[in-house]
Amino acid sequence: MVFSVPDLIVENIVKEYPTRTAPLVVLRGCSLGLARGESLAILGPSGSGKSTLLAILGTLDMPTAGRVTFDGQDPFTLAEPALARFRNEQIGFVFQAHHLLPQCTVLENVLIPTLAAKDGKHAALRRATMLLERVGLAQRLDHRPAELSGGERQRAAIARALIRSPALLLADEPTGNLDRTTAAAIGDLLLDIHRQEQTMMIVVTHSVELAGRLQRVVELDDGRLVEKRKELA
Amino acid sequence: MSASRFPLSAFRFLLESLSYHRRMNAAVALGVTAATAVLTGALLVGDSMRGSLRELTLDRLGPIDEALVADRFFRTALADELDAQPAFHDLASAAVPAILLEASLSNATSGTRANRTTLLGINDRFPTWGGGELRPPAADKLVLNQPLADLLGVKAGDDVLLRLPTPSEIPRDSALGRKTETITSRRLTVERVIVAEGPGRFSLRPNQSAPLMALVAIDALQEALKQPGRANAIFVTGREEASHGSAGEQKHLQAMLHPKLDDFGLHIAADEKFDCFNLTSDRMLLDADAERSALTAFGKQGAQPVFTYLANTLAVDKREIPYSTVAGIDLVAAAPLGPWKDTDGKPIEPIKDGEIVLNRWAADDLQAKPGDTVRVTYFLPESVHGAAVEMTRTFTLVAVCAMEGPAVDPTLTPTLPGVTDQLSIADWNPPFPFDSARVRKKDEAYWDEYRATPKAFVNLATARKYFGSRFGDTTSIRVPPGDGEKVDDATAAELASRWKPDPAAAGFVLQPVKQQGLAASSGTTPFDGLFLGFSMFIIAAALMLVLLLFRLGIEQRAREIGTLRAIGHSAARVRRWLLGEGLIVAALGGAAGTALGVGYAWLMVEGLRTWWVAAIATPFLQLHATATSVLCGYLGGVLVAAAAILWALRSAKRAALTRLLAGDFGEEKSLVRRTPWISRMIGIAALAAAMVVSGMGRQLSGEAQAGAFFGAGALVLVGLLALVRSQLRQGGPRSLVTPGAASLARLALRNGARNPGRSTLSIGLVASASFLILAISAFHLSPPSGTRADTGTGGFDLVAESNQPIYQDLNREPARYDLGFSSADEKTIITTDAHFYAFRVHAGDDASCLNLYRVRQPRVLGVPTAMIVRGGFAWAASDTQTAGNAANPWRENEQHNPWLLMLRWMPDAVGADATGFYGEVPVVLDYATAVYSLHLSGKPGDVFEIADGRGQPMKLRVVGLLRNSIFQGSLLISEEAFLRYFPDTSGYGFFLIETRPDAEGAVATMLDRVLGAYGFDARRAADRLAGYLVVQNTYLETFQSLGGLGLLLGTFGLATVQLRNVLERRGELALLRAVGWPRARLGWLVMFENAALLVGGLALGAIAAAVALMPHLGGATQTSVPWASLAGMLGAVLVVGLLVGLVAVRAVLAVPVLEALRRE
Repeated sequence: MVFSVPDLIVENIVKEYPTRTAPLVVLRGCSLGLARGESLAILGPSGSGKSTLLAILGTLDMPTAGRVTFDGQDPFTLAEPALARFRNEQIGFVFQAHHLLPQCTVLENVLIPTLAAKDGKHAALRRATMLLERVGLAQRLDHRPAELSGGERQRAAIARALIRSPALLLADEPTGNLDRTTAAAIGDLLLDIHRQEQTMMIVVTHSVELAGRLQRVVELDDGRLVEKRKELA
Repeated sequence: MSASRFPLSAFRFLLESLSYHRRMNAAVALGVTAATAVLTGALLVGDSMRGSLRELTLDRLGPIDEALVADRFFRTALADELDAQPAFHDLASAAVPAILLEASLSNATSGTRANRTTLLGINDRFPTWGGGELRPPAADKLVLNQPLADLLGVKAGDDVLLRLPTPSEIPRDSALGRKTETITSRRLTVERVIVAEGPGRFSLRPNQSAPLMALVAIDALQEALKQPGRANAIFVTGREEASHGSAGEQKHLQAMLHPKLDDFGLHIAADEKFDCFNLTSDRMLLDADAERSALTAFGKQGAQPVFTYLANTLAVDKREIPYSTVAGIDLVAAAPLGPWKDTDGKPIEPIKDGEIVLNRWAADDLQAKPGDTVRVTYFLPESVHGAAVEMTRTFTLVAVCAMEGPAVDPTLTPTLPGVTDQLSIADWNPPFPFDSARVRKKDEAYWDEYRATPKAFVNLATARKYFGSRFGDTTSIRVPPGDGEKVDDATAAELASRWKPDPAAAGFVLQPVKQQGLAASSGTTPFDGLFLGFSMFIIAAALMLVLLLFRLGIEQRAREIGTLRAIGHSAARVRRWLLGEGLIVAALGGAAGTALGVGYAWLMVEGLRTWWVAAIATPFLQLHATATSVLCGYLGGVLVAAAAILWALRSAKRAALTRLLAGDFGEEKSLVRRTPWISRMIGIAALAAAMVVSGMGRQLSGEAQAGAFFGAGALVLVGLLALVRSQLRQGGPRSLVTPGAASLARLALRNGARNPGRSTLSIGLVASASFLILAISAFHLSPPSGTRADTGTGGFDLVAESNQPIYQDLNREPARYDLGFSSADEKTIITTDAHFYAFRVHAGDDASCLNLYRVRQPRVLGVPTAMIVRGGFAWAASDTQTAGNAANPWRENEQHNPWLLMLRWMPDAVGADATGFYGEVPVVLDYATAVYSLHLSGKPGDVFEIADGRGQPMKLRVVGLLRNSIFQGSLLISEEAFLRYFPDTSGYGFFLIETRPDAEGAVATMLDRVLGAYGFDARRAADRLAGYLVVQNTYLETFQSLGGLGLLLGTFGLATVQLRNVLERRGELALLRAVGWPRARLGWLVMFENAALLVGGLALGAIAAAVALMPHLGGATQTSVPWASLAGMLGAVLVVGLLVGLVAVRAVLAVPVLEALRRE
């Protein structure tokens, strides 16, 4: 299966959770489109459904209704193994909590997504080294996550998200756990990489400052996405 | 790190994960180690049992491969003749004659007696093995093995009294057999004492207990038994000590055995005076095979069977002749066996039924003439309980024969020692009641002239009908010379070579004793299976622990699993990695477990040698291990652990990705707690199935019943656990708002419901172990305390066995007088109301639970009619309960007394119908013997075969099964059937005795003293039963001990779960402290949580035990639940479990509040 010229279209996404009484509606028909090279920030108060939307876009969760197409294909029609492969090849995640595997070194953590691929090991190794160099961890390849600072862990997580050259980079509060200086540096890194890799990038953040540096900003309000003019962000 | 070499592979990742999560993996590996160790250990216990029994067999037999033990004495030269054949040495090393007897010995000083001692008379050719030197002792000395010396309390140089059975050619149960003076005594000095190893353990009977054994020189024994130059056994040694021949080789060896007529006790004598040959037997009567073979050889030349018997009285009207012989003979006209002429010289016509011919002397004495009625009074051919009973028949006198020709041949009467060999009637020492006052001068004159020549003649069929018995019905065969043959010794010798009785029919069979012994070493009980069964719950507990720990491990790694899947690894790939990790852990744990299993087996073997020695009677067991068992244990342990790990991974498959990333192992996010219908359905279905299986348990027997018991228990556990899980998934108590400690308990219950799977497994661990302990306790047996007839003692006070048969009826005063009872003893008998039930005994292998070897030929007891009519004992099942019979009003007596089923034997037809058992002899036996020793189904209707007294197959049909009785190890058939199939067995050797309450001690002491020479040993019936029950109870103890080990694993699992729960919730617990909960209250909360799981487990185990036990309680069982010890054990479990909970409490209280809150 080959995925080429990604183009993300989100149409009327609804996400509900059943409760004893009426279902709890988190997303009430979210729609957006994103072209390659574009970056988008999603703002919104806590509990507004930002992370839920990001999980759906990253195919980690299924929408109750609505459609997501990626280069014209709905990934939710894929069976689990194919969906996993899709995620491996097309999507990179940066979580608020870095989710590095504690048993692996920094380099190994970056290379873990490549274990899902059968070939290109040497290219992957070169890319991993290059990415870690770019994120400033060239000297920490053999270190374990426990031996890194918070900012370094998040840099390693960014490198891991990019190892498979994803078409879509998703970042969920990537600076949420970091101090102001480190957060700014991580923001710079993300934007820099986005420019170089020309991925689509969606960042969920509470940071208006970070959101303001992205090309587009939307706010999730009462389960609906509202496009904001850049100067308002 | 070099960038040119790819630093990560799936395997490396797997190894790194293994290393990183080593603590949890080590815990899982420990679980696998426990399961594998127990599995391997159980298999090795089986190996040890078989290996040890095999070693004992080789030790007790040494180089002896085959043995011939006959019920008669034959020439020692028979062994020499076998050994002298060149072909013999192609197959064996040597053939050695010996005398093998069962004797009793006593300490000449203290009187301490040892019964059932193997006495071996050997010469210097007897083989030696095992490093010891075995040489025959001097003539007045004997060698004892250590157990016998210890029992008697003697050492080298001390004197012992040896009591031997006096050989008798004439069956003692026949009217002409001698019933007194059956014991020969010798005072001998102990030359030395040998260890009970090698030759010192020699025995032909497979038993793990060391035999009591004494050795004497064969020539001294021959002299004591008045059997010069004779032996009753031949031992064939193999070419190598550990060898044993094949079936083909044994057949060849048997074919080389050529006993002569003398060995059979048969003789051909040339009777020159009467011009014929006389074929006779030392036993007075020719057995059926000897007669058949003689008629085959000499039938064509007119061989004539004769059956002569003693008539106590020949009478016509009031005229009598005492002590005459009557010959049954078919008169022939041709010489030399005829002609028979009357007093007028006319030939006498063949005698018809009901007719009699007197010789002229008798006719004259009785003044009888043809047409007169002649009364013949004689002893019944078989004595009744040792007493000779007279019977009178009347015949019509049809002729008086002249005192000439064959009519005056004294050899028509067989030799009867003490009678026919005496010069005068006054010198007779007959074995039957004899009134010398009746003998007249003219009788002595007849004796002087004609010796024992018959005075009366009937036809052969009539004689056989009235005088014939199980011992035979032919006293001699007269053979006329063939054409041109002379009647002389040379021709007799030539005829002897033509008379070929079957050696096998006379017991001349070389039994492959070593091969049989080795086959028996497979054991009556598969100990590996038994210990696997015993260990099943430990294995289950260990696997549940593996499941629990592995699951805890992967739950801990929820974020890791979520991340791997989020970055594009499929769920299947992640599961494969986790499975790979689990398998490596299982493989490593299994390897450790296999090594530990050897230690566990050693511990079990040591346990069986010490604490549980009652289960195997003697500490003979040694550790043995085969590669197959070790491999099977390892693979078995790893495979079942892998299955548990696979099961644990099911949850990883269902877990939602977003929840995994949040560190939660839950399914797709739902805010509604749905009713867990599937769990409920499974629970209800399992409980229903448990009821069905439990009900079926009543109909089943043996291992199937045990399977139903454990099956029902397991189903109840599964059912209840499924219901508990469904209840926990509902979320525990709805409201916490209650006063006092109740709210704390409710909160604890709700906390328990937070991880339904984890809590359910913890409860399951405790429940399965407590089920085992509770259920097994209920099977504890105790002997009946009273004298109720429907118990395992049958209401009898004493049970006795004698080394040498007793031929007299102990219930008759004259018989007791003959046996040496004094007037004081008579008084004891009368005042204690002692009453005896004597059983006939055909010796065989001990098939009771005290013998671990697989038996071939159990002991057979002939049950007297008095016992059959008396009834009693507890019945596990009988043919009266089978469909058809149960509802049959004609069978009412049998329903009350199933012993009566024995009387439905119809010996002369084949098959079975509603009225009787034809051909198949009804047999009653103990249920345990049927199921565990003979491997029958444990139901009435089983048909099986044993060898009868002549080595021929004998079919037995099970009509009744006794429950926990003193008859363990024996087959019980009616005395009538016994006499038919074991005709050569005389006397009684097993006794049940009723006495007045509390008089059994006095009666036993008196009987042991008076009948000591017979090796009579009386003991309390309840003690004998207790001896059997202790075996079963010890197995139960073993089982319970292993259940305790399972409980230990259960509490370990419980502690792990509690610790995990507490650590997961340390922030929450810290918060409770932060909001003002005192430390003690927090501690109580955790204790409540622990107690809920513990008490829940114990309760579920108790319910499962109650359901499984339902079909096994009640009825005639003698189960006695040891409530006190049981309550103590469960109390201890509760206390230990709560103490284990304190570990979790301590962990909670040790958590620094601030740090825990920060982590949150």
